[in-house]
Amino acid sequence: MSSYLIFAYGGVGLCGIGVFGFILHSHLLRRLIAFNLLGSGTFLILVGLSQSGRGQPDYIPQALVLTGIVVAVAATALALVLIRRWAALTKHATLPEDQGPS
Amino acid sequence: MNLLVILQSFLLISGALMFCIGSLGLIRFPDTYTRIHALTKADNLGLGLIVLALILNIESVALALKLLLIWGLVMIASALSGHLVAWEADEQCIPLCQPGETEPHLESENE
Amino acid sequence: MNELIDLTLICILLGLATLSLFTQSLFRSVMFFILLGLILSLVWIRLDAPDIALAEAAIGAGITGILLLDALAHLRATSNTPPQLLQLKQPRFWLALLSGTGVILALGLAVSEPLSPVVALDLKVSENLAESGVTHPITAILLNFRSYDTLLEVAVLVLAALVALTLRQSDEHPVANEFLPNQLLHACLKLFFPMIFLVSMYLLWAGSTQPGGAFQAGAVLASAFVLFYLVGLKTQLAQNEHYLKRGWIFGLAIFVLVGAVPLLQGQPFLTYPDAHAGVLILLIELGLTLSIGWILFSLFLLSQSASTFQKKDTP
Repeated sequence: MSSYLIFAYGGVGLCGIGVFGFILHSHLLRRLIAFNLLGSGTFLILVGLSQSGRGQPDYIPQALVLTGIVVAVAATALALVLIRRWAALTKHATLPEDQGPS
Repeated sequence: MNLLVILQSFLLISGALMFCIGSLGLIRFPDTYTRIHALTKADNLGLGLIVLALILNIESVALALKLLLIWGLVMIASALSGHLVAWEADEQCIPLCQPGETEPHLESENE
Repeated sequence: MNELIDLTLICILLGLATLSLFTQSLFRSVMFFILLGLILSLVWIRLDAPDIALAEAAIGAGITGILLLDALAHLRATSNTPPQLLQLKQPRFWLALLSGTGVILALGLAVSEPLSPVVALDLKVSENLAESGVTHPITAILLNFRSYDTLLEVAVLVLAALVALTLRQSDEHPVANEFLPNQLLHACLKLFFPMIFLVSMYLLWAGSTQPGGAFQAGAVLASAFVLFYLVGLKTQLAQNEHYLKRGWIFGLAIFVLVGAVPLLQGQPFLTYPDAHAGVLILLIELGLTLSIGWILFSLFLLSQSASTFQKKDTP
């Protein structure tokens, strides 16, 4: 098994953990972290899989992932703005349907 | 096996050992101040040994200078961040730990 | 031996991912997430992708870490009950477990299928590299062969910043600059700002021949701006909405202008004349670096003003 393929499987694991955490948690910051894990896993699969087919560095997926990382940080920053605004308005860091009968 | 390889591997192994000692200190030391002490000192030495080992088989002077510059910058950055962590811990009145204790106790901040 | 390193890295990666999601304290989970970013940049080195490793270390671990930690400090006031994990009776846990394993099984099946390359795009890249104006293939792809992607990406960044700006309360007085009153920090940073700018410009310059480029340089620049802010130096510029917006648009405007010039000569959008391609790419990258640095910094700034909202209304 080539080292590229190992990391593609690692990315599969990250995606699984990300989805599990995203559904399980109700705190929005933890959900954001889970969502970022899902994204990182996707990047690993994209690069690892395409390079394991060729057995050499493949520059096109690498350039796409580079673009993806920058867009991901913009999305994270925007999500944090929304979460902080929501928390300042409601004094909760969870969505109303997750807060339960309290 | 020539002398260069032996020297390099000695430097690399001792550098890695320094990182291990620093991490051990981070886990074992009882309070914030001693933990910073372990991290900022042992890790800088470890990085320095590794940089020295890498310089030994570099032909270009510019690359060697770049590695030395990285070492210097990391040293200043870790000194600064260590100072900042200690300063912030002091601001928040995080207590010191007396010799022999495993948990910091709260009265020691008057001393 | 090499597989051993890879497997160790994967184990650390998955362990850190689990820890960052399931530790009780939120601070620890953010810390584990930053650590995960650093380990990921090592993984990118092992995947022969030094460009992504640089970007991951600067953006994934650096900027995201700053944003998360800053948000965490302001979310302390909200009701933060530690997660009630592993409640086997809740249907939500079973739903999460089922979807998690489902995703792993489906993706694992997809990865284990042998891949048949349909179009050898990498051959086309190496054939046309000489005409692109730069010698580093990733910069050539990002700014010449697929420059539409990069253009739209910067547009997405500007859009994110604009949405963040609309969420700011306009009648509110400017956010108090909570800087760190530490003498040593001031002295060291004054010494090191020129160095940080130099590193940023070096990354930009190096991008045409070796790993580096506008995104990494922009992230380094953004960290310099954040440090500026932390020591309380001039940030009045950022309070003025016009300067804020002009800074965002600058890179995009240069990109569109350079791309539109060939239209006058009847050529398609974003084709560079062969003789000046290298210089034009460097010009675009300079604009992009400044704008990306400024956008990332203003997202940091705007997320701060999002949580000071309504403080005066509280009794």
